[in-house]
Amino acid sequence: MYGLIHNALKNMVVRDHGEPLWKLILEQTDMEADVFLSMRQYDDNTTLTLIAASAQVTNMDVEAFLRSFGFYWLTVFAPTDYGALLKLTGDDPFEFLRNLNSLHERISTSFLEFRPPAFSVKNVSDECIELQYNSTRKGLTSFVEGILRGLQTMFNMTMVVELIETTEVQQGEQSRFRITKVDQQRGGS
Amino acid sequence: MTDNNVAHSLDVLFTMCFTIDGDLQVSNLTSALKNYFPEIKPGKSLLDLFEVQRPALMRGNMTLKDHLSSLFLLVAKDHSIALRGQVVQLAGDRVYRFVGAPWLAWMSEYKPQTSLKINDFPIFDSQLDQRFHVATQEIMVKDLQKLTIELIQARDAADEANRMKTDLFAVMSHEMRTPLHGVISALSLVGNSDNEAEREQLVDVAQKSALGLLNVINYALDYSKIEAGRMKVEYIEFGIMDLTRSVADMTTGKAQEKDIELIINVSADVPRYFNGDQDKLRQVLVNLTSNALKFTDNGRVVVSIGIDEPVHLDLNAGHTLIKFSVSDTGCGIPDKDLQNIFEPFWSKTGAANTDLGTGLGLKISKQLVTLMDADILVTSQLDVGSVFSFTVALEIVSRPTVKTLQFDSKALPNTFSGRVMIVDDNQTNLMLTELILKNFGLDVKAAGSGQEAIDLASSIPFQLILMDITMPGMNGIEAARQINQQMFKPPIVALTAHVQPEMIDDYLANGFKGYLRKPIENLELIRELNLWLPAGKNTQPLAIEPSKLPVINYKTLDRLKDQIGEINFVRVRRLYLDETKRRLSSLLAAWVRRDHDSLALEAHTLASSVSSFGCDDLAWRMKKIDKAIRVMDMSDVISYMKDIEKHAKESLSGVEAYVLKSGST
Repeated sequence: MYGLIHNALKNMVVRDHGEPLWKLILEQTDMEADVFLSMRQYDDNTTLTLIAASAQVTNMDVEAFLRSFGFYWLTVFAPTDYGALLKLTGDDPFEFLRNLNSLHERISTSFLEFRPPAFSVKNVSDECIELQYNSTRKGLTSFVEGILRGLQTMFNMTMVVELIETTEVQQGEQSRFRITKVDQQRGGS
Repeated sequence: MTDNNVAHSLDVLFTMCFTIDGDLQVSNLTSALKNYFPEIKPGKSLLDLFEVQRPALMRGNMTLKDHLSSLFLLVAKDHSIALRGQVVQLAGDRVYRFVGAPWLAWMSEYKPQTSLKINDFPIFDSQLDQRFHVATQEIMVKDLQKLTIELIQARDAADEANRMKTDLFAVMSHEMRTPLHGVISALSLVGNSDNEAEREQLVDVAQKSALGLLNVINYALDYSKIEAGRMKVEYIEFGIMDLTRSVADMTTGKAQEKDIELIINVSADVPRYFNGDQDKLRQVLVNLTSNALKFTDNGRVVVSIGIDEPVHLDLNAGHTLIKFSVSDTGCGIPDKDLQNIFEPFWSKTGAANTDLGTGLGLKISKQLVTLMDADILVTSQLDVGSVFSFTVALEIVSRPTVKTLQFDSKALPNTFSGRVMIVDDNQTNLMLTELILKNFGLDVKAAGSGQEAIDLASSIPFQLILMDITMPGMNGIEAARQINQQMFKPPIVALTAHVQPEMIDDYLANGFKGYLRKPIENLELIRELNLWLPAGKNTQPLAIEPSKLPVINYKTLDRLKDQIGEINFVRVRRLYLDETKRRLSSLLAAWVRRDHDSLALEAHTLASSVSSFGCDDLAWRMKKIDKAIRVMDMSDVISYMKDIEKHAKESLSGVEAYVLKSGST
């Protein structure tokens, strides 16, 4: 994965737990330095090892940690540098998800080794969609779940995000989510 | 194809399109454009609706036909939208169609509130890609700026560390030269003096100067250990009165010399026994007391130990806060200097200190106290005196379960037999060590280089080699490696001033069996000689109880075989031999490293495991070692560790022989 992800991970850990804990994670993973160049491609193992060590050191299970990381990625890290592009992707969560493939396609023109996941959106009703996530990587469904939860904050909207199923495929992972917008007036009564 | 068909095809490819006729009238807008530019009405002139920024010539003289290859940048007159595209000719000279997309750069700059969407841009339009690329480039620049800052900080830290090292080197050189000068001067005068009393006095001066030199080096080593983060808190049960007694022992002489009253006061309510790092507490108290004595010319120095009130509530159960303070009636410290006194090499003059006792002593004390989760506080008044204090949380114990370290050389042999080689390129060290070893009754051969040692080892058998590490040409490690490849492989013990844990590991990994710190201390030397050499003929027998147990208890082995069956016995026997050999290696390594906790643990475990395989003699020895460490009787540990490898080999061979004899393979 690109160094961008590693930098986001570092920022989140340092923000939430302080620099010494990040140093401990580096020690545990035998990383000599934590200088990650955003545009440089790193081995997936480096990323996954860092994530696993971060979860362990922060006393979280890996899935919960990935959810937090996905949430942080969408709500804090990505808007800092790519805010304008995120804004172009949609005005509400459903539109955003429908345009996510287009966004990834654009990114692919600059990040030549980028292997983005693919999403397909099926309308269930005006307030509900079913999202299918297809990735060539395994184990990142919780990260996507975190991103989906982040959409609520991004668009200031309440939604119910349900993970219906996750299936390991020969090369990667497929997951289905049901996302339902909650009428805040009704939900709050 | 009709114009409408062509226009339709173009609209599939582009998002923002409209038709322009020969009179520049606009018509047939795409819906996406209408969304952003509702004011646009068919039939209006292009020049009424838009300001044509590019092509420039279009502004005054509208000839679309001349600009079919040009980039068009159009800004709506009401500034609702800006477009970027080109004009294509549909039919004849009269009908054209503008095809394009929102002009992203302009919109971002002047209409950032307009919510453009990714689908407003044709798939092949590069504006979004450029935007993404620019954002990424900005991140790259941020990466570089961050890296540059980190590099500058690392460079500054390295420069600072280098400056500190240079300062340390300068102070060390000065501090070493002073006592060394005392040693050399006194010894040179000894040769010229016929007066016995004067000679004794000079030898005394030389000895004190040499001890002073050793002290300086120990300070430097402690400092380096703390700086490298290798100093750790070691918990041991101790008596508070033992601690104060040892502090008094080490500082009373100086107090008497200056005729200063030294008072050590322990409050009656302070518990008598604790679990804590006694050595570090002692070192800090001795440093602070010595410092107080140094800056006090008359009056008194008072060391007080009392209970402190907890200021926070998270004190562990069974712990209490003990406040240590050292006050003096000395010259005091000006307020402006209080923040500097813990800096290394700081002196009252602000220049590099001329006395290492204060140059590093306070710094080391502060760091040692920090290791114990506390801090040293100072209050001072000029010409009245100073108070240094610190409060540590200590666990109260009812009474110490171990005795203070006993290292009684009388229980150990004072002569040994065998041939020993001493290797050192320094002729003075070589001669002195040779004399010391000869005093132990040993046959000693000296080698002045690594190569000489290899040649000597190949021609005469030795029972032990003491090898200097740092030598010009071939160093001790390489010499040891080559000797270990020869037919005779006597144990080789490193003789070195470099005794940091990683260095010791390096020696062991390179075939050394142990190490001795330079300058050699007598008890340490006896400890090592006793491990490898038999006691001399005229020496006292070892003060340990000899084993009365058999090497192998065959009944135990028979019983074990009956209990688990022949096949399992063979399988377990293999595991047992492997595990025992591995644990023996760990035990010996712990002994070499002076890691007595690990030594006790390995001995305890081995005592149990070898006993179950009938190795009664070895089990007995392991129990003795375990017990001797628990009561900290180092003389007994040294005695029982002697020949432990040989005894272990006999026991393991006994087990092997039993297996072969009984046909279990």
